[in-house]
Amino acid sequence: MDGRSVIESTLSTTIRPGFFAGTLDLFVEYLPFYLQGLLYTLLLAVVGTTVGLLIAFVFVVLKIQTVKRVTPFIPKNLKHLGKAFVNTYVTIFRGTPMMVQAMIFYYGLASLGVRLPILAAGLIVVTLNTAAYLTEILRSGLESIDPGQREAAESLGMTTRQTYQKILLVQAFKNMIPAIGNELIVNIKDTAVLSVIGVGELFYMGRSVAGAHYRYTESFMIVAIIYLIVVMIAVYLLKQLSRWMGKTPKDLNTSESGQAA
Amino acid sequence: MITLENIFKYFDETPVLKNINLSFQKGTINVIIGPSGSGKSTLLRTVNFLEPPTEGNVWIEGERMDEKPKTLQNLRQNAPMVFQSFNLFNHLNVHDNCTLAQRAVLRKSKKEAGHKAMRTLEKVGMASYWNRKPKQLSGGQKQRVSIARALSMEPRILLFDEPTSALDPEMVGGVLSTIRNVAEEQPDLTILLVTHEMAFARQIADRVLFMDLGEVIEDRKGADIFKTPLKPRTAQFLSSFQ
Ligand SMILES: Nc1ncnc2c1ncn2[C@@H]1O[C@H](COP(=O)(O)OP(=O)(O)O)[C@@H](O)[C@H]1O
Ligand SMILES: [Mg+2]
Repeated sequence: MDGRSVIESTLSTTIRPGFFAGTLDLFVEYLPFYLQGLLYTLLLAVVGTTVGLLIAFVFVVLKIQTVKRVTPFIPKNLKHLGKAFVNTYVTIFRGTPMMVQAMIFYYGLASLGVRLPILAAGLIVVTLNTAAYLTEILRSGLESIDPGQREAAESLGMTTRQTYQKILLVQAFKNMIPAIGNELIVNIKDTAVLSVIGVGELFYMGRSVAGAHYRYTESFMIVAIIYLIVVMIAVYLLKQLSRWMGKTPKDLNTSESGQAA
Repeated sequence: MITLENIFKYFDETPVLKNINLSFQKGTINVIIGPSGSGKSTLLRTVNFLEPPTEGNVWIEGERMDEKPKTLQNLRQNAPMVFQSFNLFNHLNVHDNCTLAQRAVLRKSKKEAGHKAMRTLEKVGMASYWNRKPKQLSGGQKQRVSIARALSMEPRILLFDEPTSALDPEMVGGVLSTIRNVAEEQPDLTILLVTHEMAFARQIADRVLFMDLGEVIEDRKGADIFKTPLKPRTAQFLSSFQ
């Protein structure tokens, strides 16, 4: 839905003067638009973080591959290429503002004749951006794991791939849940910059309503409160999640039978 | 049988193993002693290619080892290692520590792997702890689980790298008697054991090797090395344990 055109059709509504009355009127009148914006914001943040995480798993494996003395020529150079690609990617995406990335991506593609739907463009930008940050987070998570874990797996005959899948990435992921959650929260807030290419997320909707009535403080106060509430809920849910991940059902069993044993 | 042939190992430019030539017979218990930094761990780790030798060959039952993934997998499942620092998988309970590699490497079913795990855990006296996480165990218990984890692979060779060095003194006896039981119950198992527990070595060893500065200085049958060390360096080292 294009926020602005719908808002223009409701312009005849009167919004009372005064900060509190005005805020209340905007809220009541435009609640569906704010919620619509919120929905887009959450969509961008959740999809961007989860798909970004999946990409980060692949990137981190490319990045930390070991190139052995005996690795044959072609795989060896493919590995070097993979490492170089990920390093360059991470440097570029972490080294430039997401707002600029969005502009280049959207208008750059448009100038090549590729017209992506705006929401799709926004989703791609936030996903690619998040993948860069999460690659670094996962890498430091992997590096923080005791090398003995890897040696034990290898000494039992597990392949490098099995070792990463079943031991190292699982442990890194568990340790990294707070950092990944933090990335989600950053994304809830920072996807506001995607309004620059016209993605109808919460900030964009707030600005549309504000512009229609020239009531900027009031509209953005509503936007701020919605962001705040959503972020607080997200923080709470993430806390529950990491508590639950740290204490799996098996653990709960253990502490009970542990007393009997 | 394990054969090490002209093994050299360098870390950067530093030689850590210098021309090692050894054979270990099937079903024997071989104890490696020597001062810290003499290359004992590195020697053990070249056997399962955790540290591939810079030069020389490792033969296991007539097959030459190399770094191909298939060879490594076959070699290591048959020669798992028990580490000084246990290295149990922190995110898995005792039971799953013993089934993970069985399933991933030996391709066993969940049920089959679980049975084997419980049987080996019984052997080391840890079956009743099957659903504990490593962090809920004492050092001695962790080491017994890691022995069970290795035995679950039904290996022909077992490598021990100072299995009791990280333990509180009161835990050492339990782990040593576990190792003794395993050796008695599975006489076909070839054991290489690095340890500073000289009394234990004396009781259990079929052969004792003394290493210093990357070389095997003395290589003796049974407990002979303790009774009549032939090299002054060996005698000097052993006297520090009186
Ligand atoms: N990964 C490594 N990189 C560099 N040097 C190492 C490495 N592992 C061992 N060394 C060195 O090799 C020598 C032998 O080490 P090690 O085999 O662990 O001796 P030991 O087990 O007898 O104490 C030591 O000087 C040690 O510092
Ligand atoms: Mg050592």
